[in-house]
Amino acid sequence: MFVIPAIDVLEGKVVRLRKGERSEKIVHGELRPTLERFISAGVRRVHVVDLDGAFGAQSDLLDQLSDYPDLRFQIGGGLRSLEKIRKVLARPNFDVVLGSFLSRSDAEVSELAALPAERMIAAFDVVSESGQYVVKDQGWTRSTRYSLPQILQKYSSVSFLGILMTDISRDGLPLGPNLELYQEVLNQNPKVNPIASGGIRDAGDLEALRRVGVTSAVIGRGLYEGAVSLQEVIRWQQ
Amino acid sequence: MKTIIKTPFSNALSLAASLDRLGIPNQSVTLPLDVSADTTHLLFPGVGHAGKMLAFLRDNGWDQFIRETTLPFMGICLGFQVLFDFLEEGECEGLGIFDGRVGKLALKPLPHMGWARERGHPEYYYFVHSFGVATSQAATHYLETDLPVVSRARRKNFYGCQFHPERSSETGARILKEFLCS
Repeated sequence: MFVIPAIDVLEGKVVRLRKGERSEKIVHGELRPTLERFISAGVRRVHVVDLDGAFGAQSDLLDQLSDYPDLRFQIGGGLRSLEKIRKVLARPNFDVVLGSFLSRSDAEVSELAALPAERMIAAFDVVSESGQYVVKDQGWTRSTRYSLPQILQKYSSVSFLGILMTDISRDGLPLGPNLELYQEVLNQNPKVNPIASGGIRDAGDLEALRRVGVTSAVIGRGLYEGAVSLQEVIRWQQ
Repeated sequence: MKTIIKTPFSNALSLAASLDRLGIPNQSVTLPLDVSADTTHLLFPGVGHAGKMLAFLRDNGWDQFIRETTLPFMGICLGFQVLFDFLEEGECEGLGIFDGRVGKLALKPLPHMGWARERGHPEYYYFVHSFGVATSQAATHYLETDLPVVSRARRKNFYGCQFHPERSSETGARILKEFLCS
């Protein structure tokens, strides 16, 4: 299993937003010192959420990240058009994280045909509603037309680098990752690489994820709030 | 000394012959105890059934030895595949060095056999396999196929390649030399 540290970036700062609200932000630090700390610890891959992009604003985030050629970035947030996706993929050490682009109602699988699957991560925020996982969108406010099994089926011909699934009903609660969610997905889709995100509290949670068959985990809050050390992340990465 | 891990599921002889041709001193061992103290690099070739290979590794203490070694380590073909998290063939857990799962290839016909290139690179390497890894965060090179197939991966001191460098002529010899001189 591979563990990837995550940073949410807003206006050049590493932040966390409470309930996805821009006004409710907690600043964890500046972008560059955070990346430099990662590099000196031996991190090779970083998961980046471009919150400016997600809110529809312009940012020079990609240019700033390009100053770190030794890191490989997975960029998400605001990649809602093929043009934007191609712009990110044009940089050799950048992969893309696609959420809304895949779950929007008029999305076609064929749009992805010309793109390198091994550089794309599908990301689905899900909530359990009346016994099934429903894919949410638009800052978690809107249900898409898909249940999780439906959208996985739709894109089953695409060999994504991984499928990032976050149970957002657990966000901010100290419940640990939703092991049953990943187990269920793997039972139905044994060939996918599930990427776990959300609720990871400590090294024990990472080991539990590995046991159910998760191949990668993204860890953000647990890292900044000190429950998981950067050393622990490196043990699983570099 | 360059040490080749020799199992009943490998072509250790042809790898050893390939190192001999390059003038690189090497030994082949079947037990971790026999790995000499002057070993600087480990090579782990494999051919055959993943489940049987993993059972052999466990029965002989190689699984723990490999997980714990800090020497530069190169897995080749099946010796590469067993370094991943999960293997469909034999439905078993791998050594978990690289993230990802090994599954039956979606390529036709199988086995995928012959010379092939990696995406974005002009060199050809020789492949013989029916199983492979679609995607991995540890991947450094992919095959030049429509659906992704990992050709090489790297993590910490571990390297691996799906192709057979010992059967890939000069391009393969270069891969071996680069690794063994690292």
